[in-house]
Amino acid sequence: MAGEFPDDSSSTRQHVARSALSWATVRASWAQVWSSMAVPSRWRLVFVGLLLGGGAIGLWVNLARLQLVGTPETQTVLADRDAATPATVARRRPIVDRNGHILAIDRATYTLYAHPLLFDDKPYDVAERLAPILDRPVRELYRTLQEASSGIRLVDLLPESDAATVRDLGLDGLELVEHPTRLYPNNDLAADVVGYVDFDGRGQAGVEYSYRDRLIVEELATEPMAASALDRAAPSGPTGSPADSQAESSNQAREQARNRARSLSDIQYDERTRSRDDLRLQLTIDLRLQRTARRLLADTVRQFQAKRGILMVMDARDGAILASTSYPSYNPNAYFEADLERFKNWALSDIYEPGSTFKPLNIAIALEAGAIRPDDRFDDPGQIFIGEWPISNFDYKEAGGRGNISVTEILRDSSNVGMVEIVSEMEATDYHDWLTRLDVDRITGIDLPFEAQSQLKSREIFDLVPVEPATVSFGQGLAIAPIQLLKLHGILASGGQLVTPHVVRGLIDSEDRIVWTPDFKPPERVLSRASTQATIAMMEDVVVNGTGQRAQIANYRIAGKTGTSQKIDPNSGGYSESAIVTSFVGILPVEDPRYVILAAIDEPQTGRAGGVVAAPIVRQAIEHLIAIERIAPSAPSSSEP
Amino acid sequence: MARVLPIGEDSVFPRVTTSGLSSELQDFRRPADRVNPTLNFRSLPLQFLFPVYDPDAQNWGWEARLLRWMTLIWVAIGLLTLFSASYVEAVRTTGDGLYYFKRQIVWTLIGLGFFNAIVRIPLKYLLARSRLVLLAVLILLVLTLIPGLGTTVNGATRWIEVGIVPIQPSEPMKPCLILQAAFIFGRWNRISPRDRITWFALAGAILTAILLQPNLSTTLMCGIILWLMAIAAGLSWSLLGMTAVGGGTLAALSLALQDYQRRRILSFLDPWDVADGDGYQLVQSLLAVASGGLWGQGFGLSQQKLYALPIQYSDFIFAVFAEEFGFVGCSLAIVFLTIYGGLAWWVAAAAPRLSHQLVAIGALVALVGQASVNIGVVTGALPTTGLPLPMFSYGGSSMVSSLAIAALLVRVARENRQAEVLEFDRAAN
Repeated sequence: MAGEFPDDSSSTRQHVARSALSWATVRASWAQVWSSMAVPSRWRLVFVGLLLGGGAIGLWVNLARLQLVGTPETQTVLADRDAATPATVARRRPIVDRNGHILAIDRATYTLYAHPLLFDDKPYDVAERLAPILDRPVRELYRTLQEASSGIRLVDLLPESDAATVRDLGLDGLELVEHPTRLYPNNDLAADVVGYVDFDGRGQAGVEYSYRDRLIVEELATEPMAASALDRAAPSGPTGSPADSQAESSNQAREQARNRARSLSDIQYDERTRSRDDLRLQLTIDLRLQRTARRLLADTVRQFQAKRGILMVMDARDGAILASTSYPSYNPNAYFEADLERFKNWALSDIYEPGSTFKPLNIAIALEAGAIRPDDRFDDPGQIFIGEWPISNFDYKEAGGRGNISVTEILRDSSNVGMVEIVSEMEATDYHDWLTRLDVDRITGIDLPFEAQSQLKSREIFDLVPVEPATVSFGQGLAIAPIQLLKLHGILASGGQLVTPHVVRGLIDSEDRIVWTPDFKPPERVLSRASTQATIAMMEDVVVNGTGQRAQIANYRIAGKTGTSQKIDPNSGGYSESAIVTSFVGILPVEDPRYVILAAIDEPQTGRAGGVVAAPIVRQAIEHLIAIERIAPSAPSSSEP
Repeated sequence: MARVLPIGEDSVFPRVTTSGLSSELQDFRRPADRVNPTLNFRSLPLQFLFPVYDPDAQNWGWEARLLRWMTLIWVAIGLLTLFSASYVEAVRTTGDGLYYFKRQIVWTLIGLGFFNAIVRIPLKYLLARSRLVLLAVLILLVLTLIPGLGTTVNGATRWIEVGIVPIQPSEPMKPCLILQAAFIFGRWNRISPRDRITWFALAGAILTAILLQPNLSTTLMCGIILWLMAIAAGLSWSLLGMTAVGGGTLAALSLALQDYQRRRILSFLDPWDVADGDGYQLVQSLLAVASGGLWGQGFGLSQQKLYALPIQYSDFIFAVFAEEFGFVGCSLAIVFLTIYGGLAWWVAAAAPRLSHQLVAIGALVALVGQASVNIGVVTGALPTTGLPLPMFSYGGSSMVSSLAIAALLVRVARENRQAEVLEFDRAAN
């Protein structure tokens, strides 16, 4: 107790000390503190209780302030977060054909997960009720449900209607996760052009890949930007000091220079356009023509038991592709089931030796170079030797030599010897220069991905090895993609212009106004109209009297050229005896050429000539093209015999 | 009776028998008023398997039963919240979503084992003998300070491996301190000033050892528990003031020496100013609490717990609770704490002995007070400190010691109602 404290004499020492803060005083208070009695009381308890109770009330008020009102900071951050949430999945613009028909569009699909852990019902009952919706056997579904206690992925890409049915079951332990999926309403119809989008929303082929930057709706920058980059170059308001203004103007100059360097196309695609979500990517493809082309091609490939085929239609005035189909293709809605080989569009990605379809270009070049004139005549013995190499016509064994024939007849009868003679009128190096002027050795620049590089021997080889230009004269010895052949014939059809083939017209708004156009190389004149028109006139004779008679259409003047090219046998390295590519290229109308149609059938087993296999489908495609494009019939006087 | 554990020298049935149960029951027909139900360890093995089940509890007074049930509800809600808060983090760091949950379940079972044992041990005995446990824990605590023995996490050495089990000695120190303080303060007027000073020095040394880990928050919590117990014990205001000043000086010294503690304090004043640095945790916590709104996001649907909120399964678990259950859930939690605290206060007020009253007050502060401080930290009302939310936060040491403290409270409530227990107490002492 207090009284027992040994040093209780502090009070007597206190007055001895000089200062109130002396050691003794401290010691006295120290003793006082430790010797004081404890006086427990109900009030002390109440004090402790009030302290804790007051704390609880304070916490409650603070929680109300945070959760019911929020501080300015939390309000701002949470509002931003809520606004940002829906945009986590990138929206993708629809793709439409040139008439606005949908080729690709986003729609909501669902992935269905099962968590048996949370099931209220027996797993077997759940399986029984899900089975009809998912179209899977109950037993198999039941087995799947037993694989894990949670997180079983039952099905991907469940459409909204089925998801609603699953939702209506009202079962616990099922989870539907929304997943925007690209829907291609026309399935494989335009897969080669449109491409597909993978499960992660990335374009992997076709336009979905090559225009991936233009298909995504971008977030609008929060800072209010100038409406377009052009506006930004306009002079701004007054500035502080001359130095500032000088820096400003040099900045402006740089900006203007940058804008000049950027193409018009880039400038069009400004901040505002990027973030617009009402735009659609419009193709030059006409879905009606595409559908016809696809049907014709599929029938033909099956009929001739061919490996594959392509059919393409191009408007040579600007290079717009109206239809491009290859068969067999794949269904972009189920790309994951398709053979990998089918993802590439072999019209672009595979090169082959074009054969006789290349001959009209050589004639146009020879005419343009002045090496021949349209009415020149050549002697065709049926077979000639270039150095040690014999070159003969395809029918040399049966027909022998043809004697003295015109250039038109060389083309009409597809005389290899005649072509060698025509090309040999030019210096080999000049001939090579012409080929490179026509961009034969470059890619076409089409706006589809994965285009293959052409193969053309070098200028030196042409000069040193005479057989090289000789074989190229009839379309062998060089390898180009079918799209390149289409582009080259486009030069003839456009009166000598080099145009870039393309499948995209641009981005259009909801009222079909075009707001952005892709940037292609401007048309470049490489041949004169006289040369191309003379060549087309000769090609008309191919259809009227020659190998391409199956492409004739009454009242329409059509030019064309058949081709049957040998393929390199990958095993022997030489030409294969059996593997051929039969093709036909058509141009119409002859009096005002505009459209180029190319059909190529790879490795047909029955038909052996382009005129037999490929010409008929070109004719049928042209018939539909005439209807769609409302091409007027040619004057009766100049129509066929 | 398979086993009788002799608690005191003069225990009613001191002998350990090995004979069969049925014959035992026939042999000893004990009058009800002589039987000490608290000494009945017969059902103990079953209770260790199913610690929630306790057939004895129906004989307790209503306060004890209500407190026991509220403790179990508290633990259950805590486990559910931990499940939600830890799942994503557990998947990310261990690949097993139930990693933390399963371990917490094991610790809860261990804690409930302690709970069931402690509610059976007379307080008198606990008060007198707990100093031995306190010494053992103090040794562990000092061992953590020896370099190489303690386990350092995030720059603080708070754990020590006992066998293979990591223990945080500062946690079991709490019930020991409560008992010891109740023992000392309860007989304050009967002990000499020299012993008083000695005891205060010992308490100060324990707090200093915790502070040196460094663990300012637990030190402060222990200090607050002791201080409020001292208030309830009726210690003179001069002594209370002196210890408060001393403790404040110690805390200030720690802040001056520990840079990270000081920065935390400063970041608490304006967390948004340093939202990318020291204020990050608090800012994310505030966002979680605020996004709870009135009704909350729903159980399991917290967004902040996914990536933004650090240690969401531990010190900041209440932020996840607040986001998922909203203001309604938080209000219910506060009401629950208030009822629990009110009940504890009622038990304290009704205790016939000062030491028992002080045990109840200590438990009240250690459970409800610490929960309030934790919620205050999470909601930005108090400086950011690493204090677990009792029965919620992941951590075995915290769970076991919280349940032990709750058991002390229940024991006080029981003894308030049982005269025979008091009798036994006197005899045992």
